[in-house]
Amino acid sequence: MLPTSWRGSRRYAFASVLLATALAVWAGQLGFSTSVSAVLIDQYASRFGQDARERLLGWRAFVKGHGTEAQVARETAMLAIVNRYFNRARFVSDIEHWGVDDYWATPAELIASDGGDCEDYAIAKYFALKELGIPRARLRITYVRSLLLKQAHMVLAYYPTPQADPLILDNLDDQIRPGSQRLDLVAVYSFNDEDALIAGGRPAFRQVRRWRDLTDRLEREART
Amino acid sequence: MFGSLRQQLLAGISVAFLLLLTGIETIHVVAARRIMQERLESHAQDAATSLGLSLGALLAHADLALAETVINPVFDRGYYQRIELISIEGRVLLAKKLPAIELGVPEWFATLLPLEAPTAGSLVMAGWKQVGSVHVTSHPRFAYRQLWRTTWGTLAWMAALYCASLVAAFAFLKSVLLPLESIERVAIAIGNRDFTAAAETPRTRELRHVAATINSLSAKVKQAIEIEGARAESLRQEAYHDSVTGLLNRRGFSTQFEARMRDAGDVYRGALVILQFHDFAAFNRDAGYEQGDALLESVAAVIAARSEAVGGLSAHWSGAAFVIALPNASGEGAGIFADELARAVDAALAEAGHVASVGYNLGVGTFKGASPPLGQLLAAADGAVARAASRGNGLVDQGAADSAAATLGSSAWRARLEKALSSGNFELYSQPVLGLPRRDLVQHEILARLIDESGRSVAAADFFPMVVRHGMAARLDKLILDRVIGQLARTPQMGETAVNVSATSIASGDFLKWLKSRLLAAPAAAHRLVFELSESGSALDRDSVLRFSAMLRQAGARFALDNFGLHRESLQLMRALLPAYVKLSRAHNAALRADEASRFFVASLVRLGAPLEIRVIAQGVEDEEVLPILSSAGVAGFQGYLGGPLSVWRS
Repeated sequence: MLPTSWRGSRRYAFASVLLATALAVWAGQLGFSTSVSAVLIDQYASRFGQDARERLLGWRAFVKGHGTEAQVARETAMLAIVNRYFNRARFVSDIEHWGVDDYWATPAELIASDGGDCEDYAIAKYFALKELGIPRARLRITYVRSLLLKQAHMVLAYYPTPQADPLILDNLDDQIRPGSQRLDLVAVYSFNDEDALIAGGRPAFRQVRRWRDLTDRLEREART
Repeated sequence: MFGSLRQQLLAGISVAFLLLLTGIETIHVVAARRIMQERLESHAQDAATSLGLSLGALLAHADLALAETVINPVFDRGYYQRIELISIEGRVLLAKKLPAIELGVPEWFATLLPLEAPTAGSLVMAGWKQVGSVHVTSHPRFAYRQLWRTTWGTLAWMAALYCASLVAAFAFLKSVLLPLESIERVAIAIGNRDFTAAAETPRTRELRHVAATINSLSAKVKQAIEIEGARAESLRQEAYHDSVTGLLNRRGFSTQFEARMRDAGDVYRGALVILQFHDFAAFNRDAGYEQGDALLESVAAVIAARSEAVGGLSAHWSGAAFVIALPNASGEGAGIFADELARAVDAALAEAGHVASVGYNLGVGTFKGASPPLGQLLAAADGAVARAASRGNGLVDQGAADSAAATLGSSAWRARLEKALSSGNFELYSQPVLGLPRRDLVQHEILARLIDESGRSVAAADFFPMVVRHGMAARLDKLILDRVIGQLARTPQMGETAVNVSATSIASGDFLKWLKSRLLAAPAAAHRLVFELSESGSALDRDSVLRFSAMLRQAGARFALDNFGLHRESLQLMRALLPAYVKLSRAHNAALRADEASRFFVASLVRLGAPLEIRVIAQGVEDEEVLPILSSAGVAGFQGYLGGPLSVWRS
């Protein structure tokens, strides 16, 4: 028989392993429709109105429905469907919608509140495509300048190969078009959570404060 | 290892502070290292991001030369170990690398607090096209230097803080524990049997109680000693003085005579005067006892005054007889004294109106050399009184009672002593001192005897008065003590050993210095030695005795008083000088057997000695009868013929 303290520390070690596994699972599925629990749906229903419940369940059904049939060969078609699906949400400025200058909403928040601005669409699409099985190396959230609007804007770019001309998923445009045809946009800077690999094992996007806030909220949602 | 309480507390506090400040320093440095590490990472990421933004257009046109000019100013600032530009295909387009340079801090420091060189990367885009990536690795050199400076800076502060807190702790402890030192002083004084000091009252509660208790206990002991001292004094008065005249009685005079005339060792001639009223019974009958007592009192006052004026010893011997002993008085001097005394007594009688009704005779007994026993001298004086009475003219008469020593002239004695001192013709004898009531051996007393020209040994009582008279006491003491110390050092199995030293010797600084160095050279002997001084000699110069006993204490030896209990100030002497023990004069033995008053006195003396740690030992015990008396009075030991006679001391 082992001394109590030793047994205690073993129990503690076991709990730590469980917790680490759970965190790893969450981290892999953060922002996925499957990580939205019934409790979270209830919370958002009371916060954003009863319609939110319907919308969230619809989002889950949408991803599930396309997930089974979605295969790499059909990626381009899937981009169009996902782009259109999320573009249905109303465009509302952050200050109007969340009461702050700049707010990066989670996919669930976008769906439940049925509103967001450019980066919220890009983020929701990024997570949905990841959930549908598209390798994240092909997906980059990109800071751009809109020459028409004369303001900063954000879109999701899809690169079939690293050197390729990307396809642009834009909330202002339901059509998916290559970057070379989007003369109204100037690409400035892009990132995804794969940048972690470039930074030598430590997540580089940790340095992007808004992304960090977003990740915190995604983790909270996943725990609910 | 540590001395006082203060030193121990200070050591504890300094260790605790050291641990605390070391802990703080460690936490601080570890935190500084983490901050430095994060700063290095964000620094690399910032550089990568900004290079990624500015290099896009240049790579699109494959303008590597311009790309390098963009990278160079960033790289040349020296904060980066490596900057690489990699094409989207994974080809290294450009690599800038710093040669190996020193970190600027010692290696152990870098090992102890390692800083990683973090790499951050950023994608380079030309419009929508991903054309490559830029990777930046920071150089930890500056961070190390910063960390080094921070570490030493805080260390300096901690050291300063440490010193300051130690100084503060030292000052604080000193003020708090100051009263403890005063208590310690009192405790040491009590240990030295001095109950007069009192500790200051400290502010700290615990110490206040300790000080108060010590003071109150010390005061109680002191009071008990006072009471016992007063009782012993009154018992002594009762036992040795006449109740009517207040002069010494017969018993008192006998003991005092032994002490003053025979044991003191400085008497080489003298006289005894007897004043005897004749037919005093008739006076009592005619005038009444009250008148008789009043007459005796007024005569006693005259005798006491006369006797004291010349350093004599007076007593009320019996109903109508007074005696006066005159140490070192010549026959002629004694005659003059007797004549003057007669005139003074006549004057006193005349004043009282009794000149016609009462008559007296005066007789003088004289001696040369050491004093004969009292009986012999009394007989000589008594004969003179009888002759004066038979002549009936009231004139003074003299009789001689010269001792054997007197047959040798003073100068002949001088020559004999000189010879004995230079040739060392003395022999050492030892006598055991036994404990009471078990009769176990507690001490040896060493006595010296002179070997005269014909090889006979002469007792100290016979030659020592001459030694004193010719000022040779210190020389003799040195000779004897040197021999005793040497022989004692060679005789390790011997226990406590007593040896006599004369009062005149210890008054000399030279002698003290000599004895001290001799004792310090033989510590094993010193610890067993007790130096005995005569009570009468000590009474003459208390300061010398105190100096002597202090010197002995330093050297590990002790001192004691012998021939004790005869002097007027016996009890004060004992309390002031604090000897290891007192040896009761042999003169008490007869009185102890005879009456209760002197038993009470001895018992009281023992009780007085107990709190002062002074033992009482009897001398000259020659028969069994006196032992139970000594035992029941609490006497610690005895010596004399009964305990074992003198034997030659050989190592």
